[in-house]
Amino acid sequence: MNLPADIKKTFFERTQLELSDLQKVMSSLVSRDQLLSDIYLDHVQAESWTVEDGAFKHGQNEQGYGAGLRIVKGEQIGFSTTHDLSCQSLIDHAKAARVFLGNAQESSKQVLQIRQPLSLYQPQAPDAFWPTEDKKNFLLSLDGYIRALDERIRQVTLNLSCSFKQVLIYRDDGLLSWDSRPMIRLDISILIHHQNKIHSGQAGCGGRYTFHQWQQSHDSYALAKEALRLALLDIESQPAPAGVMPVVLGQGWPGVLIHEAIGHGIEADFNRKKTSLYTDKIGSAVASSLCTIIDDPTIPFARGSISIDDEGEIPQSTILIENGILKNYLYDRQNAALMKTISNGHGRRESSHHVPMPRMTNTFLAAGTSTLEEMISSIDDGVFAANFGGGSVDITSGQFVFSANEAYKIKKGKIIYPIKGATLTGIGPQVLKQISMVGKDMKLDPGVGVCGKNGQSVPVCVGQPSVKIDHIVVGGTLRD
Amino acid sequence: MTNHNIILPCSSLEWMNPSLHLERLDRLAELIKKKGYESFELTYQVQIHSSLEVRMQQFESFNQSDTASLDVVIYDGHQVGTASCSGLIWNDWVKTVEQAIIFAQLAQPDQYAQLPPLECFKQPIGECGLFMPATLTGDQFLTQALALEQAALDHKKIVNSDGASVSASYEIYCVVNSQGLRAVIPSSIFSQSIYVMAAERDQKENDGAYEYRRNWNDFSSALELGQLAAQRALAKLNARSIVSGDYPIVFSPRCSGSIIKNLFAALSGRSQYLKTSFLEGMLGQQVLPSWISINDNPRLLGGLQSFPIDADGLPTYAHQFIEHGVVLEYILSYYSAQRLGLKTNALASGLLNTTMTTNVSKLHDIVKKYPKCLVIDQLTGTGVNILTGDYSRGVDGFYYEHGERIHALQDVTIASNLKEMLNSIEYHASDYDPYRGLKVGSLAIPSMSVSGHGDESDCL
Repeated sequence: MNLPADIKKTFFERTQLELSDLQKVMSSLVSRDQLLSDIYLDHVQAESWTVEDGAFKHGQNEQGYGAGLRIVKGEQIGFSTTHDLSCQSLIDHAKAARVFLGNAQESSKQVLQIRQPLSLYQPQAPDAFWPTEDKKNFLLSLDGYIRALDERIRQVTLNLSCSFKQVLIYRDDGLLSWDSRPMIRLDISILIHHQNKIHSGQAGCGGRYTFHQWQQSHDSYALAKEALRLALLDIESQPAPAGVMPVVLGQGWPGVLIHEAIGHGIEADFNRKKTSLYTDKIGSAVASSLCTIIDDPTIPFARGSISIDDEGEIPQSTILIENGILKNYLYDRQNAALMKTISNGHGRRESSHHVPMPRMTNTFLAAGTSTLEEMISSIDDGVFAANFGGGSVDITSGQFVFSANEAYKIKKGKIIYPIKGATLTGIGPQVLKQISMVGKDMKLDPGVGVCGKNGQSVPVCVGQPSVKIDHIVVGGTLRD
Repeated sequence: MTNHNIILPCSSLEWMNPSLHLERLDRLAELIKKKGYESFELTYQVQIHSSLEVRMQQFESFNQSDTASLDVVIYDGHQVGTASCSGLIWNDWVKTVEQAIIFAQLAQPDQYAQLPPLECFKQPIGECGLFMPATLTGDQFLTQALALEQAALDHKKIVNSDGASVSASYEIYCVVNSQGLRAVIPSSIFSQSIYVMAAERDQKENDGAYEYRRNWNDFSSALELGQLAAQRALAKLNARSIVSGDYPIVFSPRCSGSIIKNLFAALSGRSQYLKTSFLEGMLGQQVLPSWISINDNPRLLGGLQSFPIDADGLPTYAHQFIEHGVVLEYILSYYSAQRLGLKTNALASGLLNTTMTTNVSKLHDIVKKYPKCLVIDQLTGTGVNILTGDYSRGVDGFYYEHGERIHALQDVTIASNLKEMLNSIEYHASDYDPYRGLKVGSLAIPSMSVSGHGDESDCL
């Protein structure tokens, strides 16, 4: 069996499971007239540390196995999960998964075929993954560096979390695949004391790196300066205006607009069930002709990337919207089969305890031809929302909301002062039609996105160049 | 042949055997002592869960899950290490202990980090009546889910469904610490939910309703809940924006608890010692109008949020938290109490069953009092800043005039500052869901800034 050593060790040597056990379990799972069934095993190791009050503490270590057994029959799903990876327990759970879907098939044909995942991030032996001493030295020296930056700094909180998730997928068609997914994230939070008031600034970054890879490729000192810059900016911030106005969105993370306003609506499940605003809209104009939107799971080291999807499919970069025309939905296997097409490798799940669904990975608006300066100078009275906090969307109505955490008032083509507390809201397709300029400066977010759907969270990336939206509702407290 | 008569949740007996789990925790405690560590806490949570979903009157999915997680906290003097693992395998448990020890050794000392003193654990922890198992079959799940959805689909403009689901979970929470705490707390949770889509012309709106209960028999009827879901989705049709301006805002019981949760976040021990709260240092000060008091009773029998101990293992008790608008206590864990130089109040798990003074009985009583106002049903976006109190959210809800609902809202945001909002609460109705932990009904704030793109003709 041609499996990487770390996968073999985690799923077969340490558990006493044999490949033949998976075939046995599969035989108890498969039933007549089914669309598909699969066994998904995962093993997670995670470590997180905090530096607070200058001390390295709150160390948390987490590890565990899980198994999810799924059978899909048309629109119907039976699913059973456990932490107990003994062969007997898996057989019992296979039977539980079938309770509502009929008896097991007499014989199941499983011809073992191995599917090699892409290699978008370098899987490391898990043992090489935990240089905790190095993390301690790194965080303490970063803390010292930040405290020396400005005497007004009152509190620095650093959070570093690293995880290493291994997955093994075995399907009723005999396909066996796997992935070893590293993830790291650093969050910096700074509080400054200025004239009896506290101001805060936050910055974070991450991606599919091991600690050492990440350390070599990222400048955490620059990230610290960014957090401080935002805290200092907060000192001068004035209340946000309220009303409808032109808005320029900054590059990178504000691409969460694309994720919320259009991404969720083109996940295949909502369209198969006809609950999305984009149902039956393939081939229609759904955005300004300046918009080309792509979901690409294959960007090396990106937070949303996956070398194999959670159903054993090779992830594919997919054009969702091209020059404003809706081209494709995001598919998992079940929805692809029901919609008479094939999966584009977007079946994802939070863990073995969650059922796969079509999900986004790294979703971005492709670069255009304008510059940020051109956009700002074209506005008489409006807002430049340079960066955002989080957002959310209602799939059916298309209503989305997000909050700007770095924004500026624009007057007569010039940025005049920073503003705080601006919330933007609109109906996805209406706002996408209001995009009148798209920048050259496409950038992905720094690697901090978490996407929630039906109670499941998965890591994602968003991205966009600067864009100008002609009219959008800005919710602040200040009116003319 | 399918087996709908199966009893749910289905699981092996070993998985739900409390004395077995406690015995294993005791063994693990012995092992830790042998390794030379005198101060520790071990928590083990086991859950079995079944849920079933139907959509458009067809069975759609069945989900059965077993979960088990062990948390180990070890103190090496004032150095703390935490490790957790999932599953029942003894060797994994031993490794988890070793990992917690390594982490405790690597951590730097935190003078406030320690377990509460022995005398805190002397009294028996008592009962909150949280475990009310039912003998339920797969058929009962299916029948209930189908009835829920049918009740919603019976409305003409309800054209599609996101599905109805029914679930049951049993959990055992076991905790042992080196100060003599030894507790096993079983609990049950049942839920039912239904989400549907209403359509008229080219507008589509989605909404629904759900319930969580400790006791299966406490559910509303399928008819009641299904109709509620349908009415909510229908009410959202023909939504419009509104003219920007200052409006009275009435938060319906569906979302009013969120405002009070923001208050709790600002009064949490952590936000107080980190000084990251817009209500920093407000102990003994007025934060709500003087007619409002807030009480918490974590021991309410059968309460959804009730629990006999907090996250530190301390026995919970009833509190007056805010009296005549004045903050009597922060929400403290043992750690945050130590940091603030205060006595702990067993609120490491937060406030659990909270009641708040009311001055009217229902939403309708409030909306009648304003010539025009917005009733907010759902809050969206992340624009709440606990450090500054700045508040800016997207909303779903309705525009009202003289107590009459005029139209549903879209493309509307509301903004203000939480300090001002809390201080100016004008009405609080007793129309809260009695089964919820946070018993907050319709809540009125006389003026907030509203943004929209409606024109003057939309509004009187």
